Amino acid sequence: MRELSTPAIPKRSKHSWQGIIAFLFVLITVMASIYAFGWLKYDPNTTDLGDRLQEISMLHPLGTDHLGRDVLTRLLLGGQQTLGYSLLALGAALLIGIPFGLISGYSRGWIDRIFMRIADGFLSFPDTIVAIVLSGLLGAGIGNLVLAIVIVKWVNYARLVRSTVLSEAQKDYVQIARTNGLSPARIMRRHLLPHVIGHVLVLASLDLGKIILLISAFSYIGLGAQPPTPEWGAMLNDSRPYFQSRPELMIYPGLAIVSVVLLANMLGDYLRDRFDVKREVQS
Amino acid sequence: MGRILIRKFLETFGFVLFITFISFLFIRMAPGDPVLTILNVDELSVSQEQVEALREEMGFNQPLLVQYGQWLLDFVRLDFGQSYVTGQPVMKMIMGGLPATLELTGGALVIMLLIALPLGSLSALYRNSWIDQVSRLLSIIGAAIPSFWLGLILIDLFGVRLGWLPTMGRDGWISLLLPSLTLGLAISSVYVRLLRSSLLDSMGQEFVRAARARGYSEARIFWVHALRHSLPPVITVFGVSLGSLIGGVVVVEVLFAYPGIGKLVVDSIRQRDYPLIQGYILVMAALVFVVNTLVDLSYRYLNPEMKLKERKAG
Amino acid sequence: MGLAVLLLAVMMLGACSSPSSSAKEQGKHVSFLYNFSTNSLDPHVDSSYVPIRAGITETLVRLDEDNLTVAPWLAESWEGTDGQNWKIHLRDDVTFHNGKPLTGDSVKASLERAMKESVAVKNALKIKSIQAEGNTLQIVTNQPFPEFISELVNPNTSIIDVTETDIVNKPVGTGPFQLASFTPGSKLEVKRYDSYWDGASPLDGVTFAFNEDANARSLALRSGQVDIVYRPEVESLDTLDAEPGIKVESTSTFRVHQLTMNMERPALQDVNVRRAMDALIDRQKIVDTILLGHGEAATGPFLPSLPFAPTYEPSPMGADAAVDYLQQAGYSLVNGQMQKDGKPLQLTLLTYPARADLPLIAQVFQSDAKKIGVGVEIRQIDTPEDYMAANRDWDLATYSNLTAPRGDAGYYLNATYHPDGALNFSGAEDPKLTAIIDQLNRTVQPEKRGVLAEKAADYVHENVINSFVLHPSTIVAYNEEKVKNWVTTRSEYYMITNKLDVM
Repeated sequence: MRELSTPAIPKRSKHSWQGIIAFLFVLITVMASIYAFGWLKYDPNTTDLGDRLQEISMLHPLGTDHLGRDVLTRLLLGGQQTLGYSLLALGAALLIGIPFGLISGYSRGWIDRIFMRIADGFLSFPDTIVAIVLSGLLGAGIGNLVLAIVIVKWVNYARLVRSTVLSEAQKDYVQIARTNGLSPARIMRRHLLPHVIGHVLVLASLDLGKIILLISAFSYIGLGAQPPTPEWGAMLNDSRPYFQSRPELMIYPGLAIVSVVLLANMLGDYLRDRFDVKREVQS
Repeated sequence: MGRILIRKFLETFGFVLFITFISFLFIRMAPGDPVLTILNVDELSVSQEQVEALREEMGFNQPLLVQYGQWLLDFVRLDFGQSYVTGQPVMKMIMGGLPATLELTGGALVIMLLIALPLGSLSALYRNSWIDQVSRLLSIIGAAIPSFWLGLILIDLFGVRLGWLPTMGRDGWISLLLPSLTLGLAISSVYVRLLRSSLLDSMGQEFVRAARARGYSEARIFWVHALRHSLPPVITVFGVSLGSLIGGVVVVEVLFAYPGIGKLVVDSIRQRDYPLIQGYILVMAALVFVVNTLVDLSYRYLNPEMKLKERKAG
Repeated sequence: MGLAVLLLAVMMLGACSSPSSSAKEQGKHVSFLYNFSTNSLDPHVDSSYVPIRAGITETLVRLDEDNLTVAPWLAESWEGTDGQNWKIHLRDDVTFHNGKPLTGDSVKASLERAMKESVAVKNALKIKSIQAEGNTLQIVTNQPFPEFISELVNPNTSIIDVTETDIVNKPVGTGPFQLASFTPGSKLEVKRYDSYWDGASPLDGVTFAFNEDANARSLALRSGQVDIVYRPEVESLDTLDAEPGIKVESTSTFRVHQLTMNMERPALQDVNVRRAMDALIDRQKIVDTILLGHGEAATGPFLPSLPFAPTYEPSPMGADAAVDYLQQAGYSLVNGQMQKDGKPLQLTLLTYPARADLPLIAQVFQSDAKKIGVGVEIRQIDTPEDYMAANRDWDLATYSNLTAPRGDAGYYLNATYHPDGALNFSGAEDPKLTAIIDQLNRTVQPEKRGVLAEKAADYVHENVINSFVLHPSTIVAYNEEKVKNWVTTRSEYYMITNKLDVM
């Protein structure tokens, strides 16, 4: 059986071909944007029932949707909405969840218990209820959608961080740091965070895809991007009826989501490796 | 031991009570109420007065605290109320749908393990090889694919074109296959990557070096030491994703017409069937609590260091 | 890890207790797939109407689909000249599934239970007292209530034997099929009732299953798992039709998709603005493209084949006509926007996703409005009735309504145009219209009622109190090599009948 150690593949070559893929994506997106916005200039919201469900053509590089709107234009504009808001939601969830988990896992005792009960409390609510109540109280709209997602997602990160901290905090190097008089905040930041980051990045990079899908689920009940605003999740939902007649309509936003998640994953890997190196050097 | 049990029990009780209060307030804050649904306003002539009269009769005009008090009194007598829509006892309806949902969840978990364990381990062992890259690609696709789409594709393939499996319903073992596959594939993506990351983490740790120095075989080091040590994050994510798992189950339950509580609850939210929603949150809170407690306990078992250090410190 | 084992164990236990795979059905059998699911078979409470649809229960009267009038069913005949005192004569050859005969007493008990269990039924029937003598019933209503008999078409007034107490899981009715087994939320199995009064069914049994996903329903038919599918996915119809042996049937219903206008808003108080909005809707285009032709463009709320639907004179339609009306209302195009007194015309349009066509209609409308300079903002909501009743800060709403569910216009006109009605979202308070409706409520004779209903519909049209878009059709697809005598009813109440057969 192969030795259980990290083989010494030159890091540069791994990153370089990932870098090429990333560059290609950006290039294609930029070219497509120039074509769509500079040349074709379609209004993403104007319907044209006579032109619906057209095939790929020079005029419509990705065809038209069920209301006759250009798919490429909506896809690119949708990226703005979708990416912007999901990154915002993810960021906020991380910002709340990570400190929560760090403090809870490190302090243990009754702080830990209270924190965890609160976290469990949030877990008990079906996300649909949260979404409906928020939209009822604050009005429908994408801002409240982000809020709903953050409420539902932050617990994942809190608990993940906490579990890592629980096992790491017992280790010698942390004890040593503590006896050396380092403040808890410093310990958390310098010693625990690097361990935590790895797992969090794995979860976060894949969560991006799931958050986009969650947006589509919420948009369905009226919370989120209002029609006809283009948004990948909503486009996925809208193309459900065409599953058998025009499956491409679902593939385009689907592929867009996959590409974004792939890029995020590669970024996450890169960041993680950076932290890894740091840790190895330290120990 | 006894003291710990009593404390745990009080904690549970307090937590559940707190949850019921919050959830009660929360649900009533959602706009709308079940009155129009009950009066079947879609088909039967209803006047404003009748709507108001029913609202009054069901106590929806009373202050929230009073309504909660009433619910609490019933709760203490273990009366969880009747559904506004079907008139049946809430607990009976929930318990009726629970087995199906548990089956689906269990099946999905089995599939998830069958996918995540081998793929995650191999990706870690043969880091950056083609297996790793393929598993990463599959993970990413799995994280970005809507489960209803996956389900429809599977139904089309196995139900229609090949005709091997039933396309819907709950008629024995065989109907569990497609729904579990759909859900399992959808959730496995995160676990594959997480297990990989976690294994890479443990394999670089001291105890692995120590075990190797002691002359243990690679296989034993992997299975007995590294894997066990890398499970906590995986189990943690499982514990927290219970809520979204139930959410994912809903999509699958609707698509495959599998009669579980997921679908029951979504309908009850739409109809503002308060007793049913309340009962569901109660059951969920209890479930989440139990699962996460088990998860916390499992850390000690999987990570013997923790137990040792604790004993030393305490 | 242990958790997975635990769940696996639970799952195995669960699977053991779940119904075992149905053995190959003996004899003649049909499998029907419906698009709503239910957890209760209580015919008096459940609004999915499964018991009557599955052929288990029957009502006193039914809707005659050809003439669109009320026809005898369990009741043979009836009288009630003053609208308040009614006499109903029951058939004397009907038995329940448990063998007991249908009598005045059993009908009385059933109706009384229905009114007790369901506030909606109590309000709908308005019964003050029932007296049973043999096979005759004397019913007195709270007030003169001419549509009383048509309210007995409602499936929630089905006649069951109330002495059989497990009504939720095993209602005992008079229909051609009796219940064999019920899995809440999933399906029911029924078997032939040999002593059915109208002639026993040729089938031995029927499976009535539920699935709420349209695509999954289409796939189930294609895989052969079911024989008849209710409302398959519209966009999949081409694929279905192309398959040999599958027939697709499209039937118009009593439903209308409409554009509700909130007349409490200043912009919409001008009838010319309302006419403009009405003219802007490209009905035929919508029917052809969004419904793929499975529908009829609507001018008024009632299906044209209904006896009291007015014949409308064609009025100007289209973007130009809309601009004309707006100009008559005092609007002019300034910088690409329709403005009056310096204020642009900006409207808020509500829509909801529960009916898939409505958000699509909303988007088309918004786009067409933009082309003539009217700004429309779409707001998607969750529960339309609650929202529209509680919030008045919107101008237009796409809404869907049954306008003559039991062949009578009373329900719709009262609920939507009477100031008292619970569905009066447009805020209509027009004394002339209210007077017509009040008179309708006092008129007993069906012909006279028809005249008044037509008058009301005409008034609504002239004053554009709401705008009507289309009447959607119901689509049913079935295996024509196996199924014989399937009829899609317009009321959608009658599905599994004793005429249904296999080849």
